[in-house]
Amino acid sequence: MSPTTHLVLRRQSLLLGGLTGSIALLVGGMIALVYFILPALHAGRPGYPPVSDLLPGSMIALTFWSPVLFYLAALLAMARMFAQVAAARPVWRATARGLGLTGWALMLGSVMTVLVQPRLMQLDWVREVMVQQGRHAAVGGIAHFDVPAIVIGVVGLAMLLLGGLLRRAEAVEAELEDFV
Amino acid sequence: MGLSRAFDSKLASQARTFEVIAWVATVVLAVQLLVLLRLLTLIGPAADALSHGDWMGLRLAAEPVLRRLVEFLPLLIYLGGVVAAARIFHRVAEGELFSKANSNGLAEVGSSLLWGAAASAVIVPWILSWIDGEYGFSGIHLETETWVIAVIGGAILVLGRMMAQAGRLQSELDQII
Repeated sequence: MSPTTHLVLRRQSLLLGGLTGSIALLVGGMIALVYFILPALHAGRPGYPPVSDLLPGSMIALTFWSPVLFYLAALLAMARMFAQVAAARPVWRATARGLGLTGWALMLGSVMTVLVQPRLMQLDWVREVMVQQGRHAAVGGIAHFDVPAIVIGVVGLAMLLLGGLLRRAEAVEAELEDFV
Repeated sequence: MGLSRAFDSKLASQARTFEVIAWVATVVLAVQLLVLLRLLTLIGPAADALSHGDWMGLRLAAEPVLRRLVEFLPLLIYLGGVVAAARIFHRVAEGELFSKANSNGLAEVGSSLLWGAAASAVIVPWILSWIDGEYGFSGIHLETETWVIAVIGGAILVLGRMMAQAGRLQSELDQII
C-alpha cells in the first residue's frame, strides 16, 4: 500500500472511528437513560409507577430493545476496527476481523428485529406485565418486516463477505512481498 | 497459490448463499412496497377515466398514491442498495474478486445507504410537511436503525477504496506471475 493512500486511509478511519464510537455512545446512552436510569430514579415517587414495577418494567424494556444491543455491538466493533486502522496496525488483518464481527452482529440484530423480538414481545409474562401497567400488549404477526432491519441484514452479509475478501487481499500482499 | 485457491472456493460458496438471501430480501422489500403503495386502488379509477372520460376520479385516487410514494422514498433508495449488494455477491460467486465493478458496487451500496438514511431522517419529513401545506421544516426524524444505516454507509464507502487498493495489489501480483 503506497504511503499517501495509507495516510488518507488512516485519516478517514480516525474520523469514521470517532463518529461511529460517539454515535454508539449517544444511542446507547439515550436508551439507557430513558428506559432504565430515569425510571429507576423516579420509581416510588408520587405520580410515577411503584418500585415493584421497576424490575418487570426493565425486563420488558430489555426485551423490546434486544435487537438494538446487537446493533450497538456492531457499531462498537466498527469503531474498534477504524481505531486499529488509524493506529497503523496491519490494515488488512484488523479490517478483516472487524468486518467479520460487525457483519455477524448486524445480521443477528436483523434476525432479532424481524423474527425473534416480535415473538418475545408476545410471551405470556410480557403481555401480563404490560396489561398490568396499563399499556397495550403486542398483537399477532409472524414477523415484523421492518425495512431498515432487512437492509441492515443484507449489508451485514456484505460485510462478512468483505471480511473474507480482505483476508484474501492479505494473502495476496504477503505473496507479493515474497517476490519483492 | 494453494492457500488463496482454497479461500476462493469457500468465498464463492459463501457468496452464492448470500446472493440467494439478498434476492429474497429484495423480493420481500419490493412486495412490501407494492402492498404499502396500494397501486391496485388506481386500477378502478383508471378504467373509469379511460372508458367514461372521468379524469377527476383518477386524480383523486392518484393523490394518496403519490403521497405514499414520497413516504416510501427511503425504501426505494435502500432497495437499490440491496440490489447492488446482490450483484456484488453474484460477481464474487463467479470468481471476480477485486474488480473495478466490485469497488464501484460497494460505493453504490454505501451511497444508497447514506442517501436512504438522509431521506428517512430529513428529506421525506420536510417534503411531507410541504405537501400537507405547513410549509415548514418538521425537524429531524432519527431512529436507531437510521443511525446504524448511516454509519454503515460511510464505512462501506471507505471499504470500497480499500477494495480498489486490493485490486491494484492483485493486478501487480498477476503481472509478476
